Amino acid sequence: MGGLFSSLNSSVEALRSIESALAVSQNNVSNANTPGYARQVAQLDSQPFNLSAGLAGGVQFGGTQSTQNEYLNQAVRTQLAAQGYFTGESNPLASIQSLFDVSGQTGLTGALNNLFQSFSAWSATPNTTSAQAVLSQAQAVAQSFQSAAASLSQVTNSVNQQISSNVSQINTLTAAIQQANIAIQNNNAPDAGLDANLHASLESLSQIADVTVSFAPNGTATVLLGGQTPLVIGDRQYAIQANFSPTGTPAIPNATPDARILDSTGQDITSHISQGSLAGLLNVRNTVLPSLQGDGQQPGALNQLAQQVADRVNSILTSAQTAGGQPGTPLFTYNAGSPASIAQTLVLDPNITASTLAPVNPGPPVVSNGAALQLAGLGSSTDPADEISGQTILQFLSNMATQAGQSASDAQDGNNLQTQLLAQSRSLQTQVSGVSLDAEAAQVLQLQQGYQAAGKMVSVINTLADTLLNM
Amino acid sequence: MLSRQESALETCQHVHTILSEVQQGVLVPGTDMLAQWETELGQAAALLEEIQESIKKGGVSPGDSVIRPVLQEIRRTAAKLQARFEHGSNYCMGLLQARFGTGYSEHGLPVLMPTEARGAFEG
Repeated sequence: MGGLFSSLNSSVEALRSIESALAVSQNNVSNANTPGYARQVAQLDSQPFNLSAGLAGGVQFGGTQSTQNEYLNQAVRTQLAAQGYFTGESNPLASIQSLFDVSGQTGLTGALNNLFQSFSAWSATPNTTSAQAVLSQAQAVAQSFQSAAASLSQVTNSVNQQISSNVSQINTLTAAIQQANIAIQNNNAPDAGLDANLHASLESLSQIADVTVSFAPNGTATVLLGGQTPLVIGDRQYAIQANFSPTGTPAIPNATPDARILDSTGQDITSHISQGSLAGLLNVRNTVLPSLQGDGQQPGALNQLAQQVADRVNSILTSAQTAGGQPGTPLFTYNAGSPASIAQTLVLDPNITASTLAPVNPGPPVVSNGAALQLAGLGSSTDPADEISGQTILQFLSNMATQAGQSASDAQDGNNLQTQLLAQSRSLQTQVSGVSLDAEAAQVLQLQQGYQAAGKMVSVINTLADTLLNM
Repeated sequence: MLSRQESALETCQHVHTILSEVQQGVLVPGTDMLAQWETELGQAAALLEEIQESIKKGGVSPGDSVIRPVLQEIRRTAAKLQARFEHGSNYCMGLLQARFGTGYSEHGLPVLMPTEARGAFEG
């Protein structure tokens, strides 16, 4: 029945709806800083309007709806994973970089430079004092190789601990997501607090590894690692583990085996992880560190360098003679049975003394300081027998230092850029999430066009700067 | 017209300042800000063109050791800024497509649904 009463009824319902909407707004304000919380919007449903049938129209509170936008959330998670990768890489790469002094004054570079200088001084004045100086500098070189190998080993242990910690965090977070899924399954109505917890856990997880998230119609999350390995499906969690044990028989014995990540069935899933701090750590652990200290497949640049220095110095000295005409003695010795431990085991030969150090090239013709001169020039010698992979000994060492520095610098640059991109994504997420896209589509389009225009302008600046640099 | 190395250096530094300011501003983007940056970036491009002209006419030495590092810094900052503008553009396009996309055209381009005026809210 139409009339005043039904109109009043309609007004009361509308007032109740507005009260409910205000309560939703209040809740949004209270949770403004809750991680993972998305604004809740009150749904005001229109009511049928037909006075003759007693239907007075108006609006009725139709519950709340979350403004979580999975596209926006995924964009932030993608940036978090990309930033996590560089964060994971940065610290261990900085530690590796510090092992190589590009100024050539200290560390391995300084010790090798000092050794070649002592050979030079010995060649100019081949006496006991200069020979003793050669032995001291050779001792320093052996210690520097041992020290560099020990430092790389320390970095390896530290990275192993961080990998284990990352895996443990992944398992803790996926357990939390599993619990959230169970609670969501048991809840009849959507719970904004639960939803916030779930999304906060997903963001934390994205910093560690690249995860793909999909939501079932009931709101539960399925989380896959690297798009393939299940971590959480509904109310089930699949824990992963880190493994540092060797597999099979390596080509090079006693080398540090690669780190591996295993799924809940024991399958190796290391290659599935390409983003996040865990991927950055795995890259340092399985690519950067082995290139220096070796693994089951390669001896590593540090061991290659140690072996080449020791072998060439020994070869020249054992082909030479002492001033008294005695055959020369090798200067260095190392464990040849373990190619990945040469730097670690490099020491002075126990038989070497200042008097057994042989400076004479027996010729013919005999040159009294010939061997000493050859040793003085060994670092820069382009004789193929003295080179490593087509580079002189000092070039090879310099390249190792440059590469370590470049990798650390690239990781830092990448980290900085990803931090900015993440801040940008978060800012856009804050601006766009929660607004009515129907109403704001024009603004988003305008924003996109603005970005595009500014991007083109920057491209012009980039080209102009390039042209100026090449002029 | 730039006739001296000093003014060319100052111009390069000014360009770099513009880029740095825009880089800071991108953290809080807005449609009005983007229009303003487009104008400022246009001015920066015009200043670089001016230096290019001076080099061609011999007023400025391109291999100048003081200008070169600033130009390299401009290029580095511009490259980072470009990545961020592309990211912003892709982000907005993705958002529009996710919300309004209905599929892809024969040429592989996204098709957005046509907008319709809402007819009625009650009844």
